[in-house]
Formats: sequence, structure tokens, C-alpha cells
Amino acid sequence: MTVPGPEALIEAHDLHYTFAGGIPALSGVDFAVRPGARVALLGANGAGKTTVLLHLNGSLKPSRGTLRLGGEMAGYDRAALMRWRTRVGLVLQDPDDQLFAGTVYEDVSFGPLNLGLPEPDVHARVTFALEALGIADLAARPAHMLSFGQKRRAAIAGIVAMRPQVLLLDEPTAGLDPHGVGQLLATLDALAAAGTALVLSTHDVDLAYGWAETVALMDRGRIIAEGPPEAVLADDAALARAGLRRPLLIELAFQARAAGLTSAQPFPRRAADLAAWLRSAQIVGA
Amino acid sequence: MAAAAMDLIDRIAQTNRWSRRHPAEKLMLGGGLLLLSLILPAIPAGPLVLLAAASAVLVGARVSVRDYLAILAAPLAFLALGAVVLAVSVQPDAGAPWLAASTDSIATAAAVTLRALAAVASLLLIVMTVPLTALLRQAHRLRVPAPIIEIAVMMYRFIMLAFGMAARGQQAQANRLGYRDIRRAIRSSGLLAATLLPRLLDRGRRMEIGLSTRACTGELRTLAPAVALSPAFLSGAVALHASIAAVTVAWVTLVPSPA
Repeated sequence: MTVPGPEALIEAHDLHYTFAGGIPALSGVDFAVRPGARVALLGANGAGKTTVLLHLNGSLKPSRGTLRLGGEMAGYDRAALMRWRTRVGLVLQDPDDQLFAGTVYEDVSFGPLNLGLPEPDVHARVTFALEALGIADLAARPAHMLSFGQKRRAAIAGIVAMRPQVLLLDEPTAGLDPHGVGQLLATLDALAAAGTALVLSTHDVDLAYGWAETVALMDRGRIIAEGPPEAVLADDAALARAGLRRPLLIELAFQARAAGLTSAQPFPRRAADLAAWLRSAQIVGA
Repeated sequence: MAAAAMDLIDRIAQTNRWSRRHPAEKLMLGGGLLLLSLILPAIPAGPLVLLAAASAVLVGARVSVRDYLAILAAPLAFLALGAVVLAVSVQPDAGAPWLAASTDSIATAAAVTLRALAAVASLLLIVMTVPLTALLRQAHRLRVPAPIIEIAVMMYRFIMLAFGMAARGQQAQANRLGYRDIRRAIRSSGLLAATLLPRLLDRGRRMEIGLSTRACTGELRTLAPAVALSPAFLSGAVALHASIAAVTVAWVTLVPSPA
């Protein structure tokens, strides 16, 4: 599905993985992350999104298939994994799985220290990451005294402080309120603008449609469709197979067309674009 | 009960007005008071130390009286029981045993109780104003071996996670009437305890992944922003210690002993 290219930061080919007990998790996944990517890994619960992400940073080793990092075959020895994690950061779905240190500041300092940076640089990176995530005022708080949204941001700060080339986020918006989601997406935009390639997993079709530049649709351990969101998320057959539905904005556009209101192209990507799209469509009777 | 008290102490320690002060300042203040309560005569040093320690917590660190009393309640009950045992003696006489209290035994009980109370209050001053995280960081500065501190950090994190899981689990059970009578309550707590361990082990496994994604090398090194040591606070503490000692010496010299 993905054309292998030398420019890809991570390139997975034909990944297979089976959970203990023989339950298949991945059955032949091809996936590539290129510089500047904004990819949404979209699928229902149990489709294999988390397992793909865990492979992309070397936390899991495929039972079959290959992974390349910057064109080179990925290794799983200590030194290779160290290099891998320096380049590819993964934010786990449950922030409590990631936060361990006494305070938020100490926790965020953990990754940069592991990179072997001198202490002044570590302090600078921690300060930057805390400010980027808007949690500078929580620096001295212990993890168990944070709200869920604050924990989530602290966990992301811990990875952002390592300045990876690729940032993988497992269900980063799950459990966040709309304001929290908005803040998170703004932070991701800033990271993308600074050149970080982003891959997030979600089952939220509206989020994927509004945010991603590429959508990879997963079902039962395979990527069944990959491409621009307006193409993948208008593919009803693939969506049905993945157990998902059309994004609301695409649904509206389809309805408007079916009712003969408009034939305008392309579909609006964000709610804010909808009015402009409808105006340009010269709605009958408007 | 114990979990609730520990949780309360942790919350107080993390949020009081002095929590961001350098831990050495509070260790010095509380440690000095503790030492005074142990070496000086219980009267009048006991009440003086008690007053100083309680004011430091209530006025200085702005801990609420309610929280303070809630934490003090357990050692207070223990001390009260001890005082009764010290003051009253059982004297088996011809016939039935009977209870007796003499002026001597009451004076001893009062002195011991005051001393213990002053010592507990001094210790609580440290416990309630120094967050455990700051204490561990101070231990690191004092060159306590890193593996010991790392284990303590992990234990602290997991105890707090376990408290949270237990509290949520208990709430969920109570919502389904799991605590409506004593028999069900015992059964529900047993079930909760049994599910807690595998859940924590599972959490531990996932945390291992979480640590390794951040290039963990087996060491859990972290950094914290530097906190300045306040000379004013330290000299204030020393002045307080000195005045308690001076008043005690003056009292012992000027007030004739009742004996």
C-alpha cells in the first residue's frame, strides 16, 4: 500500500504480530512516516492501532516483517533501541503508565537526561516543553494531584522535551474535554510547524478528517485504506468494514448534494469552512 | 483509615504555603524542636515546643485546623491511653485488686505525655510541610545511594496509584450496594484487595514500556529546579530554638521545683 522511499523516517513492511495466547494483532501492515507527516491511524477498538504504534518505536518486535529507520534496518539491541527512541517518541494512551517521578518537572526531565544532555540543556528543554503544553504552573505538582487532562499534557511534555523527529500519540484526545482537545491540537500544530512528523491513533473520524493530511484506516490488524482524508473518509465500503462512519462534514456535504443544493467541490474540512462552502455552492433559495 | 490519613498528609505536604520552601529549612526547624522536646525538662519546654510547632504548621504553613486535628487525632488517642496507664496503677491488696493514682504518678504521666506530644508535633511539622518528593531529592543531595531513592520514588508513585485505584474501586462497589452491611462490606473489600494486586502488576508492566519509550537506561535520573535556602528562615528557626531553651533554663532556675 505504501510505496517505499528513501526519504521515509520510518518504514514498516508486512508487519505481523501475535499476542500471547495466539490472538493475531497485526496481519501484514505496510506503513511509512515521512518528514512533516500528519497521519491519523484510524480504526475501531481492537483494530491494532496501539500495536502498530508500539512497533514504530521498537517497543514490540514483529514476528514477521521489517522496519527501517531512515532507510536502515532497525535493530533491537540496547544501542539501536536508544537511537530509535531518540528519534521516535511515543506518548502512551494512559498517562499514568508514563508518569513516575515525584513532580511534573522531574518527570519531564527524565527523557532529556537519558539522552545524555548536560543539565543546563535539560533545564532549558523542560522549561520549553512545560510552556509548549501550557503546564508551567504545574511543574512542582506530583502526578497523582493532576487532573486527567493535565496528566495527559505532562506525559506529552515528557516526550516533547526529547525533541523527537517523529511523535507518535496513542489516542491523545481520549478522555479530554473539547477545550482540552482544542489546546492539544494547537500544540500539535506548533510541533508540526517546527518540523516534527506526527502520527496519532484515534477512532474519532471527525478529528481525523479535520486534522490529518493522511488517514490510514485500520481493520483487524491491517491497513485497509490510506490516503487524503477526503478520499478515505468518503469511501463508504472501507468505513463500513472498519466499523466507522463518515465524518459529519462529509455526511452534510453528501446530503446537500443529494438534495440538489450544491455540487461544489471540495468538501469543507473544518466547521468554520462550512459556511463559506455553502455560500460558494449558491444554495437554491438562499 | 491509614490510607486516608496518608493521603491527607500527602495532600497537605504538597499544597501548604511552605511546601516549595527548601526542605532543609523545615528539617532544621522541626528537627531542632524535636531535639529540644527530648533533652529539655518537659515542663515548661513541652508546652513551648508544642505551641511553636503547632503555630508553625497552622500560621506559618497555613494548614487548616481541621486537617491538623485529623492527623493529630491518632497519636493523640494513643498518648491519652498511655497517660492513663502511667497515672493509674493496679494494686492487688488483700481481697480484690483496686486502682490507684498518686500525685507522683500523675506528675510523671503529665511530663511523659507533654514530652511525647511536643515530639509528635515537631515531627508532624516536618511530615506535613515537606513533600515526600522534596525529601527524597534532599536525600539524593545527601548522597543516599540512587537505587534506594529510585525504589522509594517508585513505591511512592505506586502507593498513590493504588490509593486512587482502591478509592475508585470502592466507590464503584458502593454504587452497586457492595457495602450495605458488614458481611457484604468484608466480602467487597476482599474482592477489591484481590483485584488490586494484578492491576498494579499490569500497571507496572505498562510503565516499563512507558519508561523505555523515553530511552530509559535502567537508571531513573531526574532533575528539579534549584530552590534557594533562605537565611532569614534559618536564623528565625535558630532564634526560636534559642528562646525556647532560654525560657526553659530561666523557668527551672527561678521557679522552685514542687518536690
